[in-house]
Formats: sequence, structure tokens, C-alpha cells
Amino acid sequence: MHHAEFDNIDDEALWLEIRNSNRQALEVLYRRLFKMLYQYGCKVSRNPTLVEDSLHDMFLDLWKYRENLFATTSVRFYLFSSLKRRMVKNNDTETKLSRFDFQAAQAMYEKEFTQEDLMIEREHEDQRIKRLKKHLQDLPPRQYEALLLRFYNEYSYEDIASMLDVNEQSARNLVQRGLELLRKYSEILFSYILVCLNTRFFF
Amino acid sequence: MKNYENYTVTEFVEDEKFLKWVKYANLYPELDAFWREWIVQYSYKVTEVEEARRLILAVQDEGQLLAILKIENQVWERLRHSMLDEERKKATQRNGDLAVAATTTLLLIVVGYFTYSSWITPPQAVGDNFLKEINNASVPKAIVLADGSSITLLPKSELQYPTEFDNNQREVILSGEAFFDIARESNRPFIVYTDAVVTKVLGTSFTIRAVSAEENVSVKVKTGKVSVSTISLPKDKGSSEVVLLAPNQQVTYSRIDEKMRRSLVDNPEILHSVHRWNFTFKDTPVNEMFNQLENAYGIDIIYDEESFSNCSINAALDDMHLYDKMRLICKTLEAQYEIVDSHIVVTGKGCND
Repeated sequence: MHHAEFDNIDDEALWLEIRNSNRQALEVLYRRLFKMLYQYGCKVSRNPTLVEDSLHDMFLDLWKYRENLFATTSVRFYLFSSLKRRMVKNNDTETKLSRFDFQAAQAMYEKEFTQEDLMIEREHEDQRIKRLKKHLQDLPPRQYEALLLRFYNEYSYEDIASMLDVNEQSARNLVQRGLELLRKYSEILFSYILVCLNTRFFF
Repeated sequence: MKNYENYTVTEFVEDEKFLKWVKYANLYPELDAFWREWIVQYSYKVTEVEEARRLILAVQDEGQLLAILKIENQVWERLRHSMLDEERKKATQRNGDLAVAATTTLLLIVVGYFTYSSWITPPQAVGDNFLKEINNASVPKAIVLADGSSITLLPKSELQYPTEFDNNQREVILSGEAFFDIARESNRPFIVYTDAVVTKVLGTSFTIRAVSAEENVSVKVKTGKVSVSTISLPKDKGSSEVVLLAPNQQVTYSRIDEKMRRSLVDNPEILHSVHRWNFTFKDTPVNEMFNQLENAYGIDIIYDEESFSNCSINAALDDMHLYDKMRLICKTLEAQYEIVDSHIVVTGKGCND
């Protein structure tokens, strides 16, 4: 549930609210940080169940021991390092990952975890991709579905056809049409928004 | 070997080798090397390749976003239940202990029940039937009333309300600022009294700011219709002023000259509707564009239809505030806009030469 009145409250204020047993504040903090924490957890370990369980346990303990929370200058820093610590602990007791894998993950963490990481969004920063995503969301729902099934899930047209309850040709048409619309929208944008052409390519 | 050099953007996107490369370059080093070399060799295809790549990455990001959102919701459900279990355990534990203890612990049971079953600090009792909620914190406080209305009380504000509403109307008193989301009841209007104005609704959402130290009092409407009137003192001969507000409108009452002025809110929002508005215009007649904006925001736009009748416009105006849209439109049309009362007025020489 989205609690709009908390939109402008920073993490540290939410933290104090949680200490005062404000359940809504906990949910707001959870939803605000989940994606980042989850993506970070997946970098530390390739086991998604471990990441999910650790996130669950971490927030539960946050609530259980909320009265003992101390004020912190960076909630995110605390939660990121707490998550890693917890994943290490959980993994040790369950020994799901082999020793070797875990050391590799550990090394990766040591090298990459900086304050800057917390601030940088780990999505593609290309503005054009961001806009494409917005247009994607505006597509008719079946075209949207078809594009995701084809290019994200990589299902065959045969499978997509049965999932969307159409024949194979219709499935192909949905994808074609979706791509056409996406391209049409971005074409208009490209012509009329003054943007410095990004000449730096991906390599 | 396929002749990729003749491929269109769509053909690249549908090509399996291309798709794999864009999505998992680091997992397929040979494929990566192939495509990098190919692009150097056929550098004139770079625009198509880039566009195809962006399309794929956009879908990829979207897919990942949805996947993580799904997990977020699943984990939250688990967490919610775990938290409830935890509270129940604590409560029964406490009751269990107390059940064994002596009569002095009876008081503790009352306090315990109150603390664990309400998530907000209890309001103070003021007088017989009135409760007073004070927000001394630095964050907004949520209040839910008996009729289901919800009020978000901002810091340094107070709300007084009865334990039970009257049969004919629902009345509360506000000092400071709050956002109201009022449950609709056609038989019982909801009335908010401040020291300067009275706001009356049947079921809508709006914000009132009435701080005694400040010169102005304002009411901003998000949804529904709201009537705002000044409080007339018995000694005044004239009746009080009444203003009817629609969504995206606001009224500012000045304590100094005791007058109400109607205008538009700082950031008008698109009215809630099933329709998904698209503000990308390609060679669209200006009349059509203004119509769309009027319908989407519920705000009147006044302009000389005749002099603008030959104008058409190309613009992409999605995802920006209404006033930014107006600014761009006026720039394109070499016109100006201003907010007069609760309308937008556009003036310019138009396109008739």
C-alpha cells in the first residue's frame, strides 16, 4: 500500500518513526529500499532464496527490536551492511553455497561496496532507454505482454500464442505492432526534444 | 552467415544471436567479440544497431522491474504475517504472565492492551465528547475517523473532532495544515472549521492550511467539489462570501483584507479517469490540443479560437507539469499564458498572416 504522506520524509526520520512503533513507516522504508537491497543481495550471492529470506529476517528483526534502534546517519549504509552480514551468517549455517563460491562473492563485496554504490541507480542511465520504458508501459496491454514474453522471457511464438490464447500469427503481429508503436513514439520524441546526442557507445 | 548488413532494426531485435548479445554479453564472450568486430566493419549500421539495442534493454529492464516487484510483494506478505505473529506472541505472553499475578497487575493489562492494539498514540479527551489530535512530531500523522474518512495531520497542527458525529453533519476543527480524504455521504456533509474559513464537502479530497500566525489561509482541491465560505461575524451586515472549488483549484483567503481569491493549485494533476491520456502531438490542430488538456485537467483554457485556428503543433508533452506544458506550447506558438482566477488564458498573434 502506498502511503503518499510519507513521500517527503527521509530515511533517517522513518527510522525514528519505526522506533516509535509506526508500522506504516516500516512499510514505507521497506518499499523504498527493497529493489536496491534485493539487487545488492543478488550480487553478493547467486542464491535468490537466500536473498529473500535474509531480507525478510532483517526487516522482521528491525521490527522486533525496534525499541533498541539507535539513531543513524545513514540508514541505507546500515541496512546494506546488515544484509550482507546476515547473508554470510545464514549461508554458513545452511552451507548451500560451496566454500569457493562464497569466497568469490565475499571478494566481490569487498571490492565494490562503497558509499557511491548506494547512490547510483543500477539501471541503464541512458535517457532514451528510460523514455522507451515509459512508452512501453503505455502500450496496449496485450502488446506489452507479448513484448515481455518474447524479449524478456524469451518464449517461442508457439508458447506465446498459447499463453495469450491466440494463434501464432497473431502473436507475431502483436510483437511487430508493439515494436512499431514503440519506435513511432521515440521517433517523435527524438525529433523534438533538444538533447545532446550521446555519441559514447556501449564499448 | 546471415547478411546482417541488410537487417532492419526490427530484424536485429528478432535475431536470436543479437538478442543474446545485448542481454548477456559477458556470458558469451565469443558472441561479444563477433558483434563488436561486425560493428566496426559495418559502421554505417550503427544507428540501427543502437536503436535495436535500446529497445531490447528497455524490455529487459521492464521485465526485471516486474520480477523484483513481485518478489517484493511476496516477501512483504510473509513479513506482515510474521510481524502479526510476533505481536500476538508478545500479547499472549504478557497476558499469560499477568493471569498468574495479583490484583495490582489488572492496571497493567489495560495499559498493555492499549499499547499493543493501537498503532498510534491515543488522542486526548477535550471536554465531553470531543477528542483532540495534536501533531508535535516532524512527520505527518494519519487519523482515521469513525465514518472512514482519513486525515493526514501535518506537523505543528491540531484537529478536534467528536467521538461520534452528529446525524446531520460531520464537523471538525482544524488549526494548522492537513490533507483530508473524506468518505462520501450525501446525507451528511463534512465541515471543517478553521479560525478564518469554513470548508464544506460531501465526499472529496483537499488540503487546508490555516496557521494563525500566517497572513493567508488556503484550501486546495484534489478531487470532488468543495465550498469555502468566510466566517461572518454577527456584527457584519453582509453575508459571508462563498466560493465553490473544483479539482485543481484553490482559494486563498487573506486575513488582512478579508477577501477570498480563487486560482489554480501549484501543480495541477490529471483528473482521475479510466482514460489514459497521451500528450504527444504531431501536426495536431491547436484547438484539439487545448481541448485535450482541458478534459484531462478539468481546467478551462481561454484563447482566441479564430486567430489560432490555422495553427497546428508538434510537441511531446507527456510526463511534465501542466505549467511546463503551457510554457513549451507558448514557446512554440509564440504566445503567452497566465492564470486568471481559475482559468488559463493564452494570448498571442496566432497563425493567420
